[in-house]
Amino acid sequence: MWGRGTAARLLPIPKHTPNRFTFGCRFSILSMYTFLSRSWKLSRRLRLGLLASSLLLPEGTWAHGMEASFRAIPTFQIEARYDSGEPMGGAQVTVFAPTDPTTPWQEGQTDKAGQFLLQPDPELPGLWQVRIRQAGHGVLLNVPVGSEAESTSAAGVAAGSRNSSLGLLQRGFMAACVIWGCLGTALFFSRPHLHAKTSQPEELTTPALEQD
Amino acid sequence: MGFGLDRTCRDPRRGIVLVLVFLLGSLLGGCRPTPDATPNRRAEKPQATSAPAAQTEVGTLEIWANGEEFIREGFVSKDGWTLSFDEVYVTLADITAYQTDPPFDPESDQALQAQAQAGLPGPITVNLVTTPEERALLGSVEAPFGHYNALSWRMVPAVTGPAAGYSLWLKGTAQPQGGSEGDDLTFVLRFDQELAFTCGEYIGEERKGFVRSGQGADLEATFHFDHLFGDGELPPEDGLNQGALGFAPLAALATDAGSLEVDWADLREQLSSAEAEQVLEILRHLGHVGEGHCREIAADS
Repeated sequence: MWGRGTAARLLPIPKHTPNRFTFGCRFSILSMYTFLSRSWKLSRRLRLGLLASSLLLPEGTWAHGMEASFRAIPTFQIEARYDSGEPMGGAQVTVFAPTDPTTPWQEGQTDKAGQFLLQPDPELPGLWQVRIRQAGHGVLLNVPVGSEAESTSAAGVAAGSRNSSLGLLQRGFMAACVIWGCLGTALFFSRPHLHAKTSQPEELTTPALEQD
Repeated sequence: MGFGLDRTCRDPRRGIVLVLVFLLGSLLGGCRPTPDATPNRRAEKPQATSAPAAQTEVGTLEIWANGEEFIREGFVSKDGWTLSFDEVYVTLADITAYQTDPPFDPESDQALQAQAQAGLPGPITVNLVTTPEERALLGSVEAPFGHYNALSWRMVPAVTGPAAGYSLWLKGTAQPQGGSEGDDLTFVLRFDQELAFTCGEYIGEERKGFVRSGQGADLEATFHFDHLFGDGELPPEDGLNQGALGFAPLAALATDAGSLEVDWADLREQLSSAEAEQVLEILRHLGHVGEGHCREIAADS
């Protein structure tokens, strides 16, 4: 109750699944080949030619061919508010990339809810910094991107994160499993060989893979 | 034949055992962490802040104190008093600039992790009003290259000068809303509290604190006096005005017409306990770095 403290935090954003338009085109040609092969009695040479064209046709063969693709890039939803809970709507936002901390990489402003979507360049991993200012109040938010972000949670909790992805207990358990597996296998093969067979062993069979 | 290879060749199961033992050894060896694995990973990470290798070179870092336009040009308090200031003294000691990694966040509970630091021992007393520039220079220090993204200082009682014995000393004139010059109230407010502020990166129009070759850098200890008196240009329901004391409770303490001279002991005695506690809380949040907030470590009442 001494003034207007500010706070900013990261909110999680759902990830997208990458896809490629060209893969879809190639799959369509192969589907057409299958359909034609079954529907019409095409000559074997024609069918092989169609198959080869679909498989070997390089990208960009068509004079006016187009390609559209997309990839998932990290997006961070930033929310800025005062201590009272009032959102910092329309606040000035300045983004700094880790490669140049003095030149703004992006400038914008928060929406009415005090939120701002940050889409940093994934080719510039490191600590991105977002400065949010309004009416003499400011806050600086540190956003880890890339390899640095892997050791932190999506909610922006960076402090206290461990460098290793596996804990000591997990490592010990894994090592014990490996040792037990190797020793067990070694003991199995080194047991005394029985020449006298009291009974005919059952044939070992492998499960047959189902064929389409 | 030596090493029992002939037996191994005759019995394939012994060969399998040897292979398994070899694989086991390889796996266990692979589990051992590479001693320099972590430094390599960190070296690949682009660093916005200073690299340790560059810290052998030093540059100049200036540290300033700023009372903002509120103090230099005066302003209207939340309760309509027009305030102008003749002298405002603050005394700072142990002024230290840090390169921190991770960047220090005063809003969190994390400790400040300094990679390099430079400072002025003080105590240094400056007048935030009558300065040749907009800010008062506390001093310049030689500092290793890098980004100084944290600043700490203590507010301590001045040793000499008009503010001796007080860490914050304000003298000015207040005029009530709708009043004339005859209604002016001259005031002197003296605070002897010792406060300690630890702040993050300076936040303002431009980023500060980058000490580089051939380029001067500066940092600033900023004091927000609108937190004490409120801001008449903001609506009463604004969070800043809700937390501010205003000037009217102080004006009510004037002993005779046109003058008010009180220190913290007087205020604690004459203000209500809620108002006195409010003043203490405001003082704990007086220090900033530009618009950036600080963490107040200790306050004497």
